[in-house]
Amino acid sequence: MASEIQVIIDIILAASPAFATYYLAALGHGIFEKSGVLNLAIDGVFTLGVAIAFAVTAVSGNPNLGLIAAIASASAFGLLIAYLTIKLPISHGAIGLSIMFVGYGLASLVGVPVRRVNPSANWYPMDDLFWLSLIVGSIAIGILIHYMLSRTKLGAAIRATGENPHAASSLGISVMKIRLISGMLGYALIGAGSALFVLAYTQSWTEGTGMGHGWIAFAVSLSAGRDPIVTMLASTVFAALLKYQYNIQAALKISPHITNMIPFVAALAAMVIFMVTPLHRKLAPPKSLGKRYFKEERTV
Amino acid sequence: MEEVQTQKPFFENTPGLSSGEESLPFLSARNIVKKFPGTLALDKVSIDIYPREIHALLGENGAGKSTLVKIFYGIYVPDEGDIFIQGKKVQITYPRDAIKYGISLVSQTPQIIERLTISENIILGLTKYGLISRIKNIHKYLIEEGEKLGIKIDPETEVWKLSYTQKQLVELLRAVILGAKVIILDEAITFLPLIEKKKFYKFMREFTSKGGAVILITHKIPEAIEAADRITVLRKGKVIGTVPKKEATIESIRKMMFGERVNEITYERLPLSQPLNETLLEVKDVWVYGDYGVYAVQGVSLKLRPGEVIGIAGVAGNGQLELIQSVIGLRKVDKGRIFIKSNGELEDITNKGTGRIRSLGVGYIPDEPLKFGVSMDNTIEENLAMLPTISKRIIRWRRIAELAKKLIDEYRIVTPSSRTQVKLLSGGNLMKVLVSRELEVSKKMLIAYNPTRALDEVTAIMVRKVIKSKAIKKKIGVLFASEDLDEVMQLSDTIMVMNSGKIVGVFPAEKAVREEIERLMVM
Amino acid sequence: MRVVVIRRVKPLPFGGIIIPLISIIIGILLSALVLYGVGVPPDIYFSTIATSFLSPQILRSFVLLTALGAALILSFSGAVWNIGAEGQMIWGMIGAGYIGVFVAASSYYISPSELPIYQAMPGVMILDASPTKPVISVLHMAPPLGQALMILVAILLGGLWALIAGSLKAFLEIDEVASTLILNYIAYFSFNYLVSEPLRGLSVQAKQFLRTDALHYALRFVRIPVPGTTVTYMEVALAVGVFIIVWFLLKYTTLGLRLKILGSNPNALKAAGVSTRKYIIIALTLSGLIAGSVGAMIFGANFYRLEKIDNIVTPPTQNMGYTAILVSWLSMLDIRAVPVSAYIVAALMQAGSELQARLGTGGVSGIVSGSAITYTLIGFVLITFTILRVFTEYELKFVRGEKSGE
Repeated sequence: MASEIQVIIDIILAASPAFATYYLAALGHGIFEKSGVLNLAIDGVFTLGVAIAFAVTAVSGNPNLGLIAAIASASAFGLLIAYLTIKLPISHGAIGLSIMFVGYGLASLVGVPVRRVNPSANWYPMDDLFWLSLIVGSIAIGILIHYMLSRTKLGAAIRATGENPHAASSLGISVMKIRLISGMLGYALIGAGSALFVLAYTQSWTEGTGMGHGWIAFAVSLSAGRDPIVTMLASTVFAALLKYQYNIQAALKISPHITNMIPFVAALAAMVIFMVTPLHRKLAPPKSLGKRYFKEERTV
Repeated sequence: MEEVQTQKPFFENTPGLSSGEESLPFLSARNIVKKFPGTLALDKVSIDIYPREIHALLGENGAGKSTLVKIFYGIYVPDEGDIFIQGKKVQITYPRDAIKYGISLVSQTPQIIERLTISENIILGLTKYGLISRIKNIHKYLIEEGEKLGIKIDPETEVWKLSYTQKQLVELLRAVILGAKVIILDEAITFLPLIEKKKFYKFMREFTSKGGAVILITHKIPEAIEAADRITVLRKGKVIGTVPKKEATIESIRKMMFGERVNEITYERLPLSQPLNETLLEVKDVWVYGDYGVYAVQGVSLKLRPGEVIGIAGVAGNGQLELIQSVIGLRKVDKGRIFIKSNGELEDITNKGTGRIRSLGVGYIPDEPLKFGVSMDNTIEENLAMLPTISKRIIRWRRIAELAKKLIDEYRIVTPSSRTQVKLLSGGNLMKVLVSRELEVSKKMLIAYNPTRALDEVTAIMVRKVIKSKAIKKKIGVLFASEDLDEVMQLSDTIMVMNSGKIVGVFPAEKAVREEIERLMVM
Repeated sequence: MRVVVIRRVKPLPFGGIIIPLISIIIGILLSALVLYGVGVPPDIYFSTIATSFLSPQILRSFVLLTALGAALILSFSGAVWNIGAEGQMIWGMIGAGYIGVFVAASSYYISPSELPIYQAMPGVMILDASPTKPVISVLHMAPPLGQALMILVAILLGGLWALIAGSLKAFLEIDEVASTLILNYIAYFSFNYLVSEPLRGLSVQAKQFLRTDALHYALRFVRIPVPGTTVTYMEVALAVGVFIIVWFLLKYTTLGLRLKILGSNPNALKAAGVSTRKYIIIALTLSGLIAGSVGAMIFGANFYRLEKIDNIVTPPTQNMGYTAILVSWLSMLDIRAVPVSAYIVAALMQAGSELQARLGTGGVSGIVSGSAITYTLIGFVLITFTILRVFTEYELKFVRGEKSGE
C-alpha cells in the first residue's frame, strides 16, 4: 500500500513543473483579461520569457536570475499593452498579435546566440523538495489572487474595468492605474510560468521552445472561466497530458507526431466543453472584454 | 479668466434665488466649447450654479445639456473654456477629479455595474479606502447611510437584481456618500411615473436645504417648472437664457427652447387610425428570459391589427425591451408562440430568426440605435444596402443611390452626400437615416423601442406623424414600446401598460387616463 | 500637463497611405536596432533590405502574398482574424501532395532488371535509380486534369480546416485567434505524421528523410522563364484570379458588404435579419479555400514533395500565413493596395533570408535565422501600425492643470 501511495506522490510531484507553468501563466492571463484586455500576446511573451530565462540562466549560472529576468520582461510587456489599451482606442487583437510576433522574433534573437556558446544551463533541481515547493507555491499564489479578486477593492476595480470601463471611470477609479496593475501582475505570473517551463520542465532550449504553450495556457484559462480556483483543475489536466504524453504514446502505440498534437487538441476540446456547458454562463467573460476604450466616446 | 468672484452682473440678472445669501456660485462654466465630428455641441456656454438651488437645464435632445454636464463630471474635456469651483479655476479631466470637487452625476442609464454588488460599486469611489481594503468594511456604513436617506439596502446584492428605480436610488446614495455638493440628474427621473418622481423631488429638497445644489436635466417643460428654482434653456449648443421659476411659463419656455420652430411642436394626440378587423400579429402567452437567467417577459399575449398603433408604456426594465426583441426575433422565446400574417394565413414565426420575420415586411427601430441599428463606419448607401429586403445578391449601387436620395429629401437629412459615413452625421440626422430606412421597409409592420429617443423635438414629432400616417394610410401595424409616456399617449391607438413582465392594463387611447396608467406602471 | 485623446473632426488626409509607409519605416528601424544588439552590422542590414526590393527573387513571394493578402482581407473585413492561414496552406499542400503523388500518379517498386525498360519509356519518371530497389512514378491521368484535381482538393482541405475554426466561433463563440493558431500547430503535427507513415515515399531518400516521393515531372507547374526567379504561370494565374474575385465580391455583392458590416457592427447586421453566424463561417472558409490553393502552389510549383517539418519556426510555408497578415493590414483592408503591400512584405521576407545567408557565410553563422528576422520585422511594423492607425481618426489634446491625485 505504501509503495502505491509513493508512486502516486511521485507521479504528482513529477508533473509539478508542468502544473506550475500552466497554472501561473493561465492565472496571470486570467487576471489581465478580467480587466477587459483580450490578451492575444500571451504566446509571444511566453516564448520570449522562455528564451530569456534560458539565456540569463545559462550566462549567469543562477536559475533564480533567469526567473526574475523573465518576470521583469513579461511585466514590461504587460504594462505596455495595458497602457496602450487605455490611452488609445486601439484594437486589442492587433496589438496582441503584433507583440506575439515580436516575442517570437526576439526569443530567437536572444536565445540562439547564447545557445551557441552555452547549450545547457544550471537548471532548477529535479528533486521532490523543489517540486513540492512549486505546487505549494503556485496554489498559495492562486488562493491569494482569488482572495484579492473577490474580496478587496482592487479586485472589484479590476472586475469593474473589465465589465464596463466607462462606468468604472464614472464610479471614480482610474482605469489606467487599474489596468496597469492587472497588466503588470498578470504578465509577471505569465513570465514566471514561462521561466519554469524551461528551467524546471523541459530543461533544454532550442529555437522555438515554448511556442504554442502560451496558447495552451490561454485555453486553460478560458475553459476555467478565468476563475483562479477552477484554473487549478484545468491546469492539472493539461500538466498531466504534457508530462505523461510519452507514456500515453507508448500505451496507445501512436506516432510521436500524434502525441505532440495531444495538448493542442485537448486545448481545443477544453474550450469547446466550456462553451457548450452551462459553465460559460456561470463564469461569464467580462462584458467589455476586447472592446476598445475611448474616454470621450460620444453618446447620442 | 479668474474674475468670477468680482463678476457681479451675472448674479444681478438672476433674481429669485431660493435663499439669496450666497453670493458665490459653487460651480461655474465660462465660454465652454465642445466639438464632435459633424457637429458643434456647445457654443461658448456659460452658466452659474449656486448652493441651495435646484437648477433645471432644459433643452431638446441634441441641445447640449448632457454634453455640458459630462464636461462638469470629467467624462468629456472641453475644447475651449473653463470651469470654476467657488471662484477658483479647476481642471476636471476624469470623473475622479469631479468627485473630489463634490460633483456627482446620475445618468438616465444607471452607470453602476450590474455584475458587481452595491458595496463593490460604491467603494470604488471612496478614496479613503485603499486598493487592498476589504469590501466587507463598508457594509455597515452603507446600510446606515441608506437608512438616513430612507432607503433600505442589502449591500451584498448584485446590481442586476435591482429595479430601475432602485438603481437610481443607489446612484443617489452613492452621490451622497461621496460627499457631493452638486448632484446632476441627467434625465435620470424624466421617464419615471409621478409617484416615483416625488421620492426624488423630496430628496432634492432635503439635499438643497442642507446646502447642496441640484442640476436637473430634462426636456419636459412641466417638470422643470414644477421642480426647479431657476431654469436655463439651451438650444443648439447655446444658452438662450436663465429664468427664475416665478417668471417661467410654458409658453415662454417653449419659445426659448424651439425658437421659430415652436409652431411645429405639438403634443396633442395624433388622429386615431381605423384598424382593419383582422389579426396581423398575434403574441400568445409568451415567456422570454432576460440577460441574467430570470424571466423578463412573463406570459404576455396581444393582438395587433393592420392600421393599429399599439404603444406599450412602462418604466424601463419591466420587460418591454425583451418583448419587442422577441417579436423581431433577436431574443429567444422560451414559452409561447408568435404569429404574423403572411399570404392570408397566420404563420408561426416563433424563434424563426430576424431574417424570416423581416422578409415578411417587418421594420425595426431598436433601442440604442447607434449600437443596433446602423453601422457607424459605413456610409448611408451601405447602411441601406445591408438590408436583405433592399439588396439581394448583387448590389446595384445606382438603385441604392436613388433610394438614398429619396430618403434624404423626404426626411430632410443633413449630409454632405449619400456616400458619407454615418458617424459623421449629427445624432438627429443619424436617427433619421435609421428611421427612414425602417419605415421604407415596413411593408406590413413596424416594431420599435423608444423610436424617437435621441431625436430633437421637431424631428421626433415628424417621425411620429409619419409613422401614424403610414398606419392610417397604408394600414401597417405598429407595435412599439417607449419609456416616454408622452410619446405613447401621442402616438398610440391602443395603450398597454407593462409591469414586471406582464401586461397589466389595456386602454383604447381615447379612454386612457394618465394617472391611471402611471399608477399601473408602478404598482 | 495631461494628454487626452479626442476624435478628429475630419479624418487625417492621406492617412491611408502615410500611416502604412511610416509604420514600415519605423518597423525597419526598430528591427535594425534590435539586430544590431545581436551583432548584425547595420550597413549589411540596410543594404540587404535595399537590394531585396530590387531582387527578382521576390517575384514568387509577391505573387503568393498577393493571393494570401486578398484572402485575408475577406476575413479581416469581417473582423474575423484568420491567423490560421499557415495550417490551411499546410492542408492544401497535403491535399495537392496526396493527389499528385498517389492519385494523379503513383510510385512503384520495380526490379532492377526492369530499370532500363522504364528509363526508355516516355511518361515514366525514375524517382530512384538505386541498383537494389528502384522506384518509378507513373501517370494515371492527363496532366492538366491531374493538376486541376490537385488544386481542387487543396482548396477543399484548406477550406475545411478553416471551417472548423469558423464553426467554433460561429456556434460556440470561441475566439478564432486562439483556435486558428492552435489548429496551425495541429496542422504541422498532422503533416509530420502523414509524411512519416501513411504518405511516406518508397525511395531510399524518402525512407531516410521522412518525406513523400517526388511529384511526377509532368504534373509540376510550369515555370515562367524569368531569370532569377522560380514563379510559375499557375501561381500568377491564381493571384490574378483571386484578386479579381475578391475585388468583385467586396465591391458589388451583398456578401462582401455584409462581411464589411460584420466587421464594423455585427449587431446592426443581426438587427437587419442577417445571420452573423453564417457570415463568420463564410469569412473564415473563403479565406481558407484560397489559402489551401496557395498550399497547392507551394507543393506543385516549388517543393514537389512533402517533407517533415523539423523546426516549426521555419515551416515550408515560409511563415507566409503570418506575413500575409501584415500584407492585408498594411493595405488598410483595401484590396487595391494589396499588390503594393505584398511587394513590400515580399522584399522584407527576402531580406530576412538573405541576411541569414550573408551572415552565415560571413562566419557568424547561427546568430539569426531568417524566420527570427521575419518575425521581428512583422512584429515591429505591426505594433507601429496598430498604434499609428489610431491617429487617422483621433488626435491628441494637451490639457493644462494639476494632477488629480489619488
